[in-house]
Amino acid sequence: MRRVAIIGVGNTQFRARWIEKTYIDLAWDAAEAALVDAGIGIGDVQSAVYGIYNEMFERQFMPDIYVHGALGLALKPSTRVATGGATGGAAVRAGWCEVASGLHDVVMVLGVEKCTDCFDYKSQNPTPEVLKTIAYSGDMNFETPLGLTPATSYALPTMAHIARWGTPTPPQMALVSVKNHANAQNNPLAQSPKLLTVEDVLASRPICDPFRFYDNCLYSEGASCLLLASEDFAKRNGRPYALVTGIGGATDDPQPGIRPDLSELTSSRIAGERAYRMAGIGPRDLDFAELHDAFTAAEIMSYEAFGFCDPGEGGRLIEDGVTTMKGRLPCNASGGLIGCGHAVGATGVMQVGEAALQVMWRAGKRQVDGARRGLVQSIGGPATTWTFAIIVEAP
Amino acid sequence: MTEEQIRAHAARTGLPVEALARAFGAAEQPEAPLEIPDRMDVTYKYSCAEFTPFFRALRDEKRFLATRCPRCGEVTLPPRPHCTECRGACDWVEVGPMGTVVASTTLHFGSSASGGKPPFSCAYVRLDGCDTAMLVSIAGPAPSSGTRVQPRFRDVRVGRLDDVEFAPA
Repeated sequence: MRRVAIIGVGNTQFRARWIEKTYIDLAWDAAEAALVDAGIGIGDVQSAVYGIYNEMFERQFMPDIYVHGALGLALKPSTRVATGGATGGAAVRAGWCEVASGLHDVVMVLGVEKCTDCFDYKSQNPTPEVLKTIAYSGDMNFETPLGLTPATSYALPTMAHIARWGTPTPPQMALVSVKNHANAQNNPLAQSPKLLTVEDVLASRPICDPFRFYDNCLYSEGASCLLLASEDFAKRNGRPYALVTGIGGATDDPQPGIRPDLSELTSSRIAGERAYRMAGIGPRDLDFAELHDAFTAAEIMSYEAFGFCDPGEGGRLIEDGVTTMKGRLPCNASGGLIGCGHAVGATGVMQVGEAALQVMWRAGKRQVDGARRGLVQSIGGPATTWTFAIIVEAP
Repeated sequence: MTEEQIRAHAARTGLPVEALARAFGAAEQPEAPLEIPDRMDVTYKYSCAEFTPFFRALRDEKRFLATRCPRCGEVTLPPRPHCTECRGACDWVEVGPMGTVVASTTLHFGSSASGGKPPFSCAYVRLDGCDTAMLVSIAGPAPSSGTRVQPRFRDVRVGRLDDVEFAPA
């Protein structure tokens, strides 16, 4: 297998609504930014992988082909990946396979999502319709008819974790929200840069126990693009690049009640072990992580799943400040899904791009000092069915 | 949008005139992107297929059927027509009706498919005789893990999982 480099990173802002752009034009903006960043032209791109989660969000089935044509890639090969919230991570993995295998030298990985064209006329608000659209991803025979929302998907494992370990407590979860909103203040892409206090989070309205409003990520619109290339191409290209040195995937049973243990993020633990093994490292070798904080508790349970601490100790890790920008292992310098936003298909691509910028020391005000190696987590599906764990390093 | 256009949109989409009027009643800003109402609809007459015994027993007999592997004996709900370990066909056995809560939560905010229900609760419940847990609706507040619960069936059942909810025994 060949070594795979990230040679270009391009993003749009993540916003609650991009009323002036379809997903196609958002994709254009991210793709152009990545091409400029890499210093190559569209003619150098040999293949494309599109990460787009939900047809109903785009109001278009097979949305990827409309992006492909508009980008000027007609007759180049392309595929689309859709793995729920993990779509971005899976798209990076698919693009990585094309380069590592020698199939192509330069591959575009492009994640994009709309959502707030959905609109609930009854409440005159997009949110209930967005949630319904996501809820169609639950088991249509055995879960969705109960009227659930995506929050239950994280709330139930969190409640199982609380029943087993007594944590995370509401103040521990609030600390994650405060951290990620604050980190977003250093990210020009971010949808929700905010200075919050623990009290603000604890006083926000309940959404789905144990989560309150500020424990939730945002749903966002936006696009994110990476250009992946063989390391040989990256060297010839003559610009700074990052390397993808480990990719671990695990897809758990999508009916969470069938799993042996609902109180841990099993797919993350196993995907992480696989990524560490491939990169020849362990959790102590990481300088930072970009985690899938769809809900605050998911970040805390991910600390445990990835071995940043022992099981049950994740709440203490954030209390001790270990994962803040000043701590030993900053998590979600970008602001994560809570601060930067969750433009579903784009999210994992954005987070891998963030890791690449960090190890190239190009992350501006949110730069983690001396960052050389980071872990990215991309989660999707009911109760974290899919996880892709991706290690990004400086050459 | 004019009243005439709103009525035409209502006729073409099936959305109510009043709801469209609320969303599109304000004067359009000429420099703003144009917004149009739409819907993506599919109606179904879906087959329960291999799950038919479960849904027929729930609807017609207020009983819970689970799948059991005749070789390893694992009893699974939601049902699995084939054992993922032994690879053979499973048969149906009655389980419950009582069960034990594994994890539960209360939703305070719903989707537009939640039917105006919030707040409402749900839980993973392991029905007696079952090796796995199934998601069910809970009547009232969310019971803590380990709570024993029993089913309450709707008077008119239609063959969907929301024909039943559980409450502490």
